[in-house]
Amino acid sequence: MKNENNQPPEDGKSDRREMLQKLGRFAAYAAPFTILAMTKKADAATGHGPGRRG
Amino acid sequence: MWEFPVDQGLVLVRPDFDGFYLLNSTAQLVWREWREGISVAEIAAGLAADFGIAVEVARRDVEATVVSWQAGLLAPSPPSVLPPPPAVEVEKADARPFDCVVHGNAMRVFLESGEVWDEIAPRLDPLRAEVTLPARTFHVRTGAGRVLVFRDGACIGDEENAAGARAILLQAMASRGEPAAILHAGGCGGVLLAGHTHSGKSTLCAALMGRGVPYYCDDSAVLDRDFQLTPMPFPLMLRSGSWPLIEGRFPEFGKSPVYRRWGSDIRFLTPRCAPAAATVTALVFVRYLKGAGTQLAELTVFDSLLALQRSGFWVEHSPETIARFLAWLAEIPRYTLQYEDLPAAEGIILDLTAHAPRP
Repeated sequence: MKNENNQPPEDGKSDRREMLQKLGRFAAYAAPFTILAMTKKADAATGHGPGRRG
Repeated sequence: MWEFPVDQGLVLVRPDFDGFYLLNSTAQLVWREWREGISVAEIAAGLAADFGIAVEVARRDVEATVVSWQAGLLAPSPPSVLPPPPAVEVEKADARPFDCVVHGNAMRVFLESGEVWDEIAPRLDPLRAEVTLPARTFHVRTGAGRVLVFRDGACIGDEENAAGARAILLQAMASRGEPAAILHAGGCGGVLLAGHTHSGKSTLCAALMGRGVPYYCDDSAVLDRDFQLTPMPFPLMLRSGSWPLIEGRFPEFGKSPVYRRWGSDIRFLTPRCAPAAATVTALVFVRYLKGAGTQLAELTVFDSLLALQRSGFWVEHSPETIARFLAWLAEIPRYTLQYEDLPAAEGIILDLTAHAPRP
Protein backbone atom coordinates (compact mmCIF):
# COMPACT_ATOMS: atom_id res chain seq x y z
CA MET A 1 0.00 0.00 0.00
CA LYS A 2 0.94 3.59 -0.42
CA ASN A 3 2.61 5.42 2.45
CA GLU A 4 -0.53 6.27 4.44
CA ASN A 5 1.16 8.79 6.71
CA ASN A 6 1.96 10.93 3.68
CA GLN A 7 4.81 12.53 5.61
CA PRO A 8 7.60 14.35 3.77
CA PRO A 9 10.82 12.39 3.63
CA GLU A 10 13.20 13.19 6.43
CA ASP A 11 16.11 13.69 4.05
CA GLY A 12 14.33 16.73 2.57
CA LYS A 13 14.37 15.52 -1.03
CA SER A 14 11.66 17.76 -2.43
CA ASP A 15 11.79 16.12 -5.86
CA ARG A 16 11.00 12.75 -4.39
CA ARG A 17 8.17 14.18 -2.29
CA GLU A 18 6.75 15.82 -5.39
CA MET A 19 6.96 12.58 -7.31
CA LEU A 20 5.32 10.62 -4.52
CA GLN A 21 2.48 13.12 -4.42
CA LYS A 22 2.06 12.55 -8.14
CA LEU A 23 1.97 8.82 -7.53
CA GLY A 24 -0.59 9.32 -4.78
CA ARG A 25 -3.51 8.48 -7.08
CA PHE A 26 -2.47 4.85 -7.01
CA ALA A 27 -4.05 2.78 -4.26
CA ALA A 28 -1.39 0.15 -4.81
CA TYR A 29 2.10 -0.14 -6.19
CA ALA A 30 2.30 0.05 -9.99
CA ALA A 31 5.34 -1.69 -11.42
CA PRO A 32 7.56 0.62 -13.47
CA PHE A 33 7.32 0.21 -17.22
CA THR A 34 8.80 1.84 -20.31
CA ILE A 35 7.15 1.46 -23.72
CA LEU A 36 8.71 2.47 -26.99
CA ALA A 37 6.26 4.18 -29.33
CA MET A 38 7.77 4.37 -32.79
CA THR A 39 6.76 7.40 -34.83
CA LYS A 40 6.37 6.68 -38.55
CA LYS A 41 4.35 8.50 -41.19
CA ALA A 42 3.04 5.38 -42.91
CA ASP A 43 1.91 3.86 -39.58
CA ALA A 44 -0.02 7.05 -38.96
CA ALA A 45 -2.33 6.02 -41.79
CA THR A 46 -2.23 2.24 -41.86
CA GLY A 47 -1.69 1.42 -38.20
CA HIS A 48 0.77 -1.29 -39.21
CA GLY A 49 3.94 -1.82 -37.26
CA PRO A 50 3.21 0.04 -33.99
CA GLY A 51 5.79 0.34 -31.24
CA ARG A 52 7.00 -2.20 -28.77
CA ARG A 53 8.20 -2.54 -25.22
CA GLY A 54 11.80 -1.50 -24.87
CA MET B 1 18.12 12.99 -24.27
CA TRP B 2 15.00 15.14 -24.63
CA GLU B 3 12.67 14.97 -21.60
CA PHE B 4 8.99 15.92 -21.53
CA PRO B 5 7.02 15.40 -18.30
CA VAL B 6 3.31 14.67 -18.85
CA ASP B 7 0.46 14.20 -16.40
CA GLN B 8 1.06 10.59 -15.38
CA GLY B 9 4.55 9.89 -16.56
CA LEU B 10 7.48 11.03 -18.63
CA VAL B 11 8.31 11.04 -22.36
CA LEU B 12 11.97 10.51 -23.23
CA VAL B 13 13.21 10.91 -26.79
CA ARG B 14 16.59 10.02 -28.25
CA PRO B 15 17.71 12.73 -30.69
CA ASP B 16 18.94 10.01 -33.07
CA PHE B 17 15.79 7.87 -33.16
CA ASP B 18 12.19 8.51 -34.27
CA GLY B 19 10.29 7.23 -31.28
CA PHE B 20 8.95 8.15 -27.86
CA TYR B 21 9.91 6.21 -24.74
CA LEU B 22 6.87 6.34 -22.45
CA LEU B 23 7.68 5.93 -18.73
CA ASN B 24 4.86 5.50 -16.24
CA SER B 25 5.05 7.44 -12.96
CA THR B 26 6.97 4.74 -11.11
CA ALA B 27 9.50 4.46 -13.93
CA GLN B 28 9.74 8.26 -13.92
CA LEU B 29 10.63 8.17 -10.21
CA VAL B 30 13.25 5.48 -10.83
CA TRP B 31 14.65 7.48 -13.78
CA ARG B 32 15.03 10.68 -11.75
CA GLU B 33 16.85 8.94 -8.90
CA TRP B 34 18.97 6.68 -11.06
CA ARG B 35 20.15 9.66 -13.15
CA GLU B 36 21.12 11.41 -9.92
CA GLY B 37 23.46 8.50 -9.21
CA ILE B 38 21.37 6.81 -6.54
CA SER B 39 22.05 3.07 -6.50
CA VAL B 40 19.52 0.45 -7.57
CA ALA B 41 19.48 -0.91 -4.01
CA GLU B 42 18.67 2.50 -2.53
CA ILE B 43 15.94 3.21 -5.10
CA ALA B 44 14.41 -0.21 -4.42
CA ALA B 45 14.55 0.35 -0.65
CA GLY B 46 12.77 3.68 -1.11
CA LEU B 47 10.02 2.14 -3.25
CA ALA B 48 9.58 -0.71 -0.77
CA ALA B 49 9.17 1.75 2.11
CA ASP B 50 6.89 4.12 0.22
CA PHE B 51 4.53 1.46 -1.09
CA GLY B 52 4.82 -1.22 1.56
CA ILE B 53 6.03 -3.84 -0.88
CA ALA B 54 8.77 -6.44 -0.44
CA VAL B 55 12.28 -5.12 -1.05
CA GLU B 56 12.99 -8.07 -3.36
CA VAL B 57 10.00 -7.15 -5.56
CA ALA B 58 11.09 -3.51 -5.73
CA ARG B 59 14.68 -4.49 -6.47
CA ARG B 60 13.66 -6.90 -9.22
CA ASP B 61 11.49 -4.19 -10.85
CA VAL B 62 14.15 -1.49 -10.63
CA GLU B 63 16.85 -3.80 -11.99
CA ALA B 64 14.63 -4.90 -14.89
CA THR B 65 13.80 -1.28 -15.68
CA VAL B 66 17.44 -0.18 -15.73
CA VAL B 67 18.43 -3.19 -17.87
CA SER B 68 15.70 -2.36 -20.41
CA TRP B 69 16.92 1.25 -20.60
CA GLN B 70 20.49 0.11 -21.14
CA ALA B 71 19.33 -2.15 -23.99
CA GLY B 72 17.28 0.51 -25.79
CA LEU B 73 16.88 4.03 -24.47
CA LEU B 74 20.54 4.37 -23.43
CA ALA B 75 22.15 1.90 -25.85
CA PRO B 76 25.11 3.31 -27.82
CA SER B 77 23.17 2.81 -31.08
CA PRO B 78 19.47 3.50 -31.59
CA PRO B 79 17.15 0.44 -31.65
CA SER B 80 16.95 0.37 -35.44
CA VAL B 81 18.20 2.57 -38.20
CA LEU B 82 16.67 2.17 -41.63
CA PRO B 83 19.11 1.89 -44.49
CA PRO B 84 19.00 4.69 -47.07
CA PRO B 85 16.44 4.22 -49.87
CA PRO B 86 17.67 2.01 -52.70
CA ALA B 87 19.20 3.95 -55.57
CA VAL B 88 16.69 3.45 -58.38
CA GLU B 89 15.52 5.60 -61.25
CA VAL B 90 12.48 7.74 -60.47
CA GLU B 91 10.68 6.70 -63.63
CA LYS B 92 9.65 3.19 -64.54
CA ALA B 93 8.69 1.98 -68.01
CA ASP B 94 5.34 0.44 -67.05
CA ALA B 95 4.15 3.44 -65.00
CA ARG B 96 0.91 5.12 -66.03
CA PRO B 97 0.10 8.79 -65.35
CA PHE B 98 -2.91 9.72 -63.26
CA ASP B 99 -3.88 13.41 -63.42
CA CYS B 100 -5.90 14.94 -60.63
CA VAL B 101 -6.60 18.16 -58.73
CA VAL B 102 -6.26 18.33 -54.92
CA HIS B 103 -7.20 21.51 -53.05
CA GLY B 104 -7.10 23.37 -56.36
CA ASN B 105 -3.58 22.18 -57.20
CA ALA B 106 -2.99 20.22 -60.40
CA MET B 107 -0.96 17.08 -59.86
CA ARG B 108 0.32 14.22 -61.98
CA VAL B 109 0.97 10.86 -60.31
CA PHE B 110 2.84 8.11 -62.15
CA LEU B 111 1.76 4.75 -60.75
CA GLU B 112 3.48 1.48 -61.51
CA SER B 113 1.09 -1.09 -62.96
CA GLY B 114 -0.07 -3.91 -60.74
CA GLU B 115 -0.25 -3.72 -56.96
CA VAL B 116 0.75 -0.05 -56.75
CA TRP B 117 -1.93 1.00 -59.23
CA ASP B 118 -4.58 -1.20 -57.62
CA GLU B 119 -3.84 0.23 -54.16
CA ILE B 120 -3.75 3.89 -55.10
CA ALA B 121 -5.84 4.57 -58.22
CA PRO B 122 -9.26 4.00 -56.54
CA ARG B 123 -8.29 6.59 -53.90
CA LEU B 124 -7.55 9.19 -56.56
CA ASP B 125 -10.42 8.40 -58.92
CA PRO B 126 -12.93 11.04 -57.69
CA LEU B 127 -10.22 13.71 -58.07
CA ARG B 128 -9.35 12.80 -61.66
CA ALA B 129 -9.09 15.86 -63.90
CA GLU B 130 -7.47 17.01 -67.09
CA VAL B 131 -4.13 18.59 -66.30
CA THR B 132 -1.87 20.33 -68.78
CA LEU B 133 0.82 21.71 -66.49
CA PRO B 134 1.00 19.93 -63.10
CA ALA B 135 2.23 21.94 -60.11
CA ARG B 136 3.52 18.73 -58.55
CA THR B 137 4.62 15.41 -60.00
CA PHE B 138 4.73 12.20 -57.98
CA HIS B 139 6.03 8.74 -58.85
CA VAL B 140 5.22 5.55 -56.96
CA ARG B 141 7.20 2.47 -57.95
CA THR B 142 8.79 -0.66 -56.58
CA GLY B 143 12.55 -1.12 -56.40
CA ALA B 144 14.89 -3.44 -54.52
CA GLY B 145 11.94 -5.00 -52.68
CA ARG B 146 10.59 -1.66 -51.46
CA VAL B 147 7.82 0.67 -52.59
CA LEU B 148 9.17 4.16 -53.17
CA VAL B 149 7.40 7.52 -53.39
CA PHE B 150 8.98 10.48 -55.17
CA ARG B 151 7.82 14.11 -55.18
CA ASP B 152 9.26 16.23 -57.97
CA GLY B 153 12.13 13.75 -58.25
CA ALA B 154 13.02 13.57 -54.53
CA CYS B 155 12.35 10.37 -52.57
CA ILE B 156 9.85 11.09 -49.76
CA GLY B 157 8.82 7.51 -48.93
CA ASP B 158 10.58 4.16 -48.71
CA GLU B 159 7.96 1.66 -47.59
CA GLU B 160 7.54 -2.06 -47.12
CA ASN B 161 4.30 -2.28 -49.08
CA ALA B 162 1.92 -0.40 -51.37
CA ALA B 163 -0.39 0.57 -48.47
CA GLY B 164 2.47 2.40 -46.74
CA ALA B 165 3.38 4.16 -49.99
CA ARG B 166 -0.26 5.13 -50.52
CA ALA B 167 -0.28 6.70 -47.05
CA ILE B 168 2.83 8.77 -47.75
CA LEU B 169 1.55 9.85 -51.16
CA LEU B 170 -1.90 11.00 -49.99
CA GLN B 171 -0.43 12.84 -46.99
CA ALA B 172 1.97 14.68 -49.30
CA MET B 173 -0.72 15.46 -51.89
CA ALA B 174 -3.10 17.00 -49.34
CA SER B 175 -0.59 18.82 -47.12
CA ARG B 176 0.22 22.48 -47.48
CA GLY B 177 3.83 22.47 -46.30
CA GLU B 178 5.40 19.92 -43.98
CA PRO B 179 3.02 18.66 -41.28
CA ALA B 180 3.87 18.82 -37.55
CA ALA B 181 2.17 15.52 -36.70
CA ILE B 182 0.02 12.79 -38.25
CA LEU B 183 -2.31 10.48 -36.31
CA HIS B 184 -3.90 7.25 -37.52
CA ALA B 185 -7.37 8.72 -37.16
CA GLY B 186 -10.47 9.83 -38.95
CA GLY B 187 -11.69 13.38 -38.55
CA CYS B 188 -15.29 14.61 -38.44
CA GLY B 189 -16.44 18.03 -37.28
CA GLY B 190 -13.09 18.70 -35.58
CA VAL B 191 -13.25 15.46 -33.55
CA LEU B 192 -10.43 13.00 -34.25
CA LEU B 193 -11.49 9.34 -34.22
CA ALA B 194 -8.29 7.38 -33.61
CA GLY B 195 -7.77 3.67 -33.46
CA HIS B 196 -6.04 0.71 -34.96
CA THR B 197 -7.22 -1.03 -38.14
CA HIS B 198 -10.68 -2.67 -37.76
CA SER B 199 -11.53 -0.42 -34.80
CA GLY B 200 -14.66 0.95 -36.49
CA LYS B 201 -13.48 4.51 -37.03
CA SER B 202 -14.17 4.59 -40.80
CA THR B 203 -17.71 3.30 -40.25
CA LEU B 204 -18.32 5.96 -37.62
CA CYS B 205 -16.79 8.64 -39.88
CA ALA B 206 -19.08 7.63 -42.75
CA ALA B 207 -22.13 7.60 -40.49
CA LEU B 208 -21.33 11.07 -39.16
CA MET B 209 -20.75 12.34 -42.68
CA GLY B 210 -24.21 10.97 -43.56
CA ARG B 211 -25.65 13.15 -40.78
CA GLY B 212 -24.07 16.26 -42.24
CA VAL B 213 -21.00 16.52 -39.99
CA PRO B 214 -18.10 18.09 -41.95
CA TYR B 215 -15.66 15.37 -43.05
CA TYR B 216 -11.88 15.86 -42.91
CA CYS B 217 -10.19 12.47 -43.15
CA ASP B 218 -10.63 8.74 -42.87
CA ASP B 219 -7.41 7.14 -41.69
CA SER B 220 -4.70 9.79 -41.77
CA ALA B 221 -5.20 12.95 -39.68
CA VAL B 222 -2.57 15.40 -40.90
CA LEU B 223 -1.92 18.26 -38.45
CA ASP B 224 -0.22 21.34 -39.87
CA ARG B 225 2.28 23.63 -38.10
CA ASP B 226 -0.58 25.18 -36.08
CA PHE B 227 -2.06 21.72 -35.32
CA GLN B 228 -4.98 22.45 -37.61
CA LEU B 229 -6.57 19.41 -39.23
CA THR B 230 -5.93 19.17 -42.99
CA PRO B 231 -8.87 18.07 -45.20
CA MET B 232 -8.08 14.82 -47.06
CA PRO B 233 -10.52 14.61 -50.00
CA PHE B 234 -9.84 10.93 -50.79
CA PRO B 235 -12.45 8.14 -50.58
CA LEU B 236 -13.06 6.23 -47.34
CA MET B 237 -12.46 2.49 -47.44
CA LEU B 238 -15.30 0.46 -45.91
CA ARG B 239 -15.26 -3.29 -45.33
CA SER B 240 -18.29 -5.42 -46.15
CA GLY B 241 -19.31 -5.70 -42.49
CA SER B 242 -20.23 -2.03 -42.38
CA TRP B 243 -22.00 -1.80 -45.76
CA PRO B 244 -25.53 -2.46 -44.37
CA LEU B 245 -25.03 0.39 -41.89
CA ILE B 246 -23.94 2.81 -44.59
CA GLU B 247 -25.95 1.91 -47.72
CA GLY B 248 -29.20 3.49 -46.50
CA ARG B 249 -27.49 6.85 -46.02
CA PHE B 250 -25.59 6.92 -49.31
CA PRO B 251 -27.72 5.33 -52.06
CA GLU B 252 -24.90 5.55 -54.62
CA PHE B 253 -22.56 3.59 -52.32
CA GLY B 254 -24.35 0.29 -53.05
CA LYS B 255 -23.48 0.63 -56.75
CA SER B 256 -19.76 1.30 -56.25
CA PRO B 257 -17.30 -1.42 -57.33
CA VAL B 258 -16.13 -4.08 -54.90
CA TYR B 259 -12.39 -4.61 -54.38
CA ARG B 260 -10.51 -7.27 -52.45
CA ARG B 261 -8.03 -6.06 -49.76
CA TRP B 262 -6.24 -8.20 -47.16
CA GLY B 263 -8.84 -10.97 -47.43
CA SER B 264 -11.87 -8.66 -47.16
CA ASP B 265 -14.34 -7.24 -49.66
CA ILE B 266 -14.22 -3.46 -49.58
CA ARG B 267 -15.89 -0.48 -51.26
CA PHE B 268 -14.85 3.15 -51.43
CA LEU B 269 -17.16 5.99 -50.41
CA THR B 270 -16.43 9.39 -51.95
CA PRO B 271 -16.64 12.03 -49.22
CA ARG B 272 -18.07 15.51 -49.23
CA CYS B 273 -14.88 16.91 -47.78
CA ALA B 274 -14.66 20.11 -45.73
CA PRO B 275 -13.04 22.90 -47.75
CA ALA B 276 -10.66 24.31 -45.13
CA ALA B 277 -8.53 23.21 -42.18
CA ALA B 278 -10.20 22.84 -38.77
CA THR B 279 -9.29 23.25 -35.12
CA VAL B 280 -9.28 19.87 -33.35
CA THR B 281 -11.83 19.89 -30.54
CA ALA B 282 -11.41 16.37 -29.13
CA LEU B 283 -9.43 13.17 -29.59
CA VAL B 284 -11.45 9.97 -29.23
CA PHE B 285 -9.93 6.49 -29.37
CA VAL B 286 -12.65 4.38 -30.95
CA ARG B 287 -13.23 0.67 -30.54
CA TYR B 288 -16.16 -1.27 -31.96
CA LEU B 289 -16.86 -4.27 -29.73
CA LYS B 290 -20.00 -6.34 -30.16
CA GLY B 291 -21.80 -7.08 -26.92
CA ALA B 292 -19.78 -4.59 -24.90
CA GLY B 293 -22.20 -1.66 -24.74
CA THR B 294 -21.41 1.92 -25.67
CA GLN B 295 -19.49 4.14 -23.29
CA LEU B 296 -17.23 7.17 -23.29
CA ALA B 297 -14.40 7.58 -20.74
CA GLU B 298 -11.82 10.32 -20.23
CA LEU B 299 -8.14 9.62 -20.79
CA THR B 300 -4.99 11.12 -19.28
CA VAL B 301 -2.29 12.46 -21.59
CA PHE B 302 -0.07 9.50 -20.69
CA ASP B 303 -2.79 6.95 -21.45
CA SER B 304 -3.50 8.80 -24.71
CA LEU B 305 0.15 8.35 -25.68
CA LEU B 306 -0.11 4.64 -24.92
CA ALA B 307 -3.22 4.51 -27.12
CA LEU B 308 -1.39 6.36 -29.91
CA GLN B 309 1.43 3.83 -29.60
CA ARG B 310 -1.08 1.08 -30.36
CA SER B 311 -2.93 2.91 -33.16
CA GLY B 312 -0.01 4.57 -34.99
CA PHE B 313 1.27 8.17 -35.14
CA TRP B 314 4.11 10.40 -36.28
CA VAL B 315 5.51 13.66 -34.91
CA GLU B 316 8.25 15.75 -36.51
CA HIS B 317 11.47 14.81 -34.76
CA SER B 318 12.53 18.05 -33.10
CA PRO B 319 12.31 18.99 -29.40
CA GLU B 320 10.27 22.09 -30.23
CA THR B 321 7.64 20.23 -32.24
CA ILE B 322 7.42 17.36 -29.75
CA ALA B 323 6.91 19.86 -26.91
CA ARG B 324 4.21 21.64 -28.92
CA PHE B 325 2.55 18.32 -29.79
CA LEU B 326 2.41 17.27 -26.12
CA ALA B 327 1.06 20.71 -25.11
CA TRP B 328 -1.62 20.42 -27.82
CA LEU B 329 -2.51 16.92 -26.59
CA ALA B 330 -2.81 18.18 -23.02
CA GLU B 331 -5.14 21.00 -24.09
CA ILE B 332 -7.72 19.01 -26.03
CA PRO B 333 -10.29 16.71 -24.37
CA ARG B 334 -9.29 13.03 -24.74
CA TYR B 335 -11.53 9.97 -24.51
CA THR B 336 -11.98 6.32 -25.29
CA LEU B 337 -15.25 5.36 -26.95
CA GLN B 338 -16.17 1.70 -26.89
CA TYR B 339 -19.29 1.09 -28.96
CA GLU B 340 -21.55 -1.61 -30.25
CA ASP B 341 -24.46 0.60 -31.29
CA LEU B 342 -23.64 2.94 -34.19
CA PRO B 343 -26.45 5.52 -33.64
CA ALA B 344 -25.49 5.77 -29.95
CA ALA B 345 -21.83 6.35 -30.89
CA GLU B 346 -22.88 8.96 -33.46
CA GLY B 347 -24.89 10.74 -30.78
CA ILE B 348 -21.88 10.85 -28.45
CA ILE B 349 -19.61 12.30 -31.14
CA LEU B 350 -22.28 14.78 -32.23
CA ASP B 351 -22.56 15.87 -28.62
CA LEU B 352 -18.77 16.38 -28.43
CA THR B 353 -18.94 18.39 -31.65
CA ALA B 354 -21.81 20.51 -30.36
CA HIS B 355 -20.09 21.19 -27.05
CA ALA B 356 -16.67 21.83 -28.49
CA PRO B 357 -15.27 25.25 -27.67
CA ARG B 358 -15.45 27.54 -30.68
CA PRO B 359 -12.34 29.48 -31.68
